[in-house]
Amino acid sequence: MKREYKILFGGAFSTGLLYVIPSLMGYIWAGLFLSLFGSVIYLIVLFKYGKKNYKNTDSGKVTLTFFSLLIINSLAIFTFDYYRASIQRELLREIRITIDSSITETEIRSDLLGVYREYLLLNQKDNVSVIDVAADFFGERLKDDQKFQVKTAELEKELNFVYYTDPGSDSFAIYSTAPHSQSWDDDFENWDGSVGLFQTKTTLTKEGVTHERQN
Amino acid sequence: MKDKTNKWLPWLSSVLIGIIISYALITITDSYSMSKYPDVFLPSTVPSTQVNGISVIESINEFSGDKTTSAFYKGARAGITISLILIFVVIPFLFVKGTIQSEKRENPAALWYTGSALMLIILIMPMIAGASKIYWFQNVDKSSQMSRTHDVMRMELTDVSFIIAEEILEFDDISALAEFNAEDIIEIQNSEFHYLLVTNPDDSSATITIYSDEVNNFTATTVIRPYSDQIFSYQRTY
Repeated sequence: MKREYKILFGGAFSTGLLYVIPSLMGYIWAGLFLSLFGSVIYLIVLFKYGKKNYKNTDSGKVTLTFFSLLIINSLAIFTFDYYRASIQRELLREIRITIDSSITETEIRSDLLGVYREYLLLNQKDNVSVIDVAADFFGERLKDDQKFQVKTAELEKELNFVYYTDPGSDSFAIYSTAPHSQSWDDDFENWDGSVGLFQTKTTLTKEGVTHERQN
Repeated sequence: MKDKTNKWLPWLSSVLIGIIISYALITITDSYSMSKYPDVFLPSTVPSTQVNGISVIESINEFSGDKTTSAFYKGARAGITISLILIFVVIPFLFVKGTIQSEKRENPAALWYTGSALMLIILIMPMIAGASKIYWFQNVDKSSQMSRTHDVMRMELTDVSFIIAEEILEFDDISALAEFNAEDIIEIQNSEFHYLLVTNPDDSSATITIYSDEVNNFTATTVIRPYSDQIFSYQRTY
């Protein structure tokens, strides 16, 4: 086989392989940049081969200019696209967290506000506890395994809810976790054993309802 | 003078061939885009656009809790690999080989015309694509900043609405809120937005509106009816 074809096939093989292997492992961007790196080596070899066989010195200059422009152009646009993809990914994560956060607050805080309203009404006549009022208000929605059943059943496909009572401080809390939303602290331990997920805690006490984002 | 013209004539021909090939490629890509198959399968002069396409699909899948389908991923990977080999290996090779052949014949060879036309395409197309991407990105960035501000306003309004609903329930008399000022709420004392609270003792409801000096065309309003089944109703205006 002629040397030029060895260079061609060697270049095609290394450029292809340097992209395919990392992308098979899920690293598509690493594959792209590695492939570009492999191409730079191939283009240097090809340029040297061309320069050796060119009769006219201008041809070498034109080839060098074209190859340099190709590498610089590609590096610039690959970097810009990588930056754009990172921003888009971050934006989608942020939107997802905003949606989860809004749904959780509206659904759970409204429920607990309803219990608080009931508590204020009943407390005018008798001295009742927040936990008892919540237990009466929610009834079968409080499951034995501590799971809390929300009014909108479809939400349970996207979010997890559990309740927790503390008789000592007479408080009733609901923890909401979003299994698809990685949040700001990657090491945060969620109540269900998962790590780093979005979580809120909505608490009802005699003083009212508080809602906090824990992660 | 004639020599100079002769020197540039082959390049002019290459540019014309390049324009014709570019139009043909754009037409093929456009007709493919209309089909049911995603155009990331097609080899492109800017492979990072294809990689970005997969990245966006992965992000959307992550958003909806799904995983990328392997069939789609395989097809796109093949398309990107072909693009990379064509751009960085085959086309530069055609150009170098065409130049060597032309020098031997002392006239531009067909291989040189093909190589140089394709070489010009892979140099110029990414520049055009890059410029349009920067322009597009700036617009998207501006609109996403605006959406982010709207989201913050909505979330802050929700917080304030809950606090006011609790106040009404605790006072058990909406007229007690007549002197109440939304800006007095501790949670929003550092807020960059403004609030307008209107109470209506006739039907025991309160209306709170959030607005901003910076986002003139957007306001969000919550009507609070603390004694009804649906405590809140939400409206927004652009």
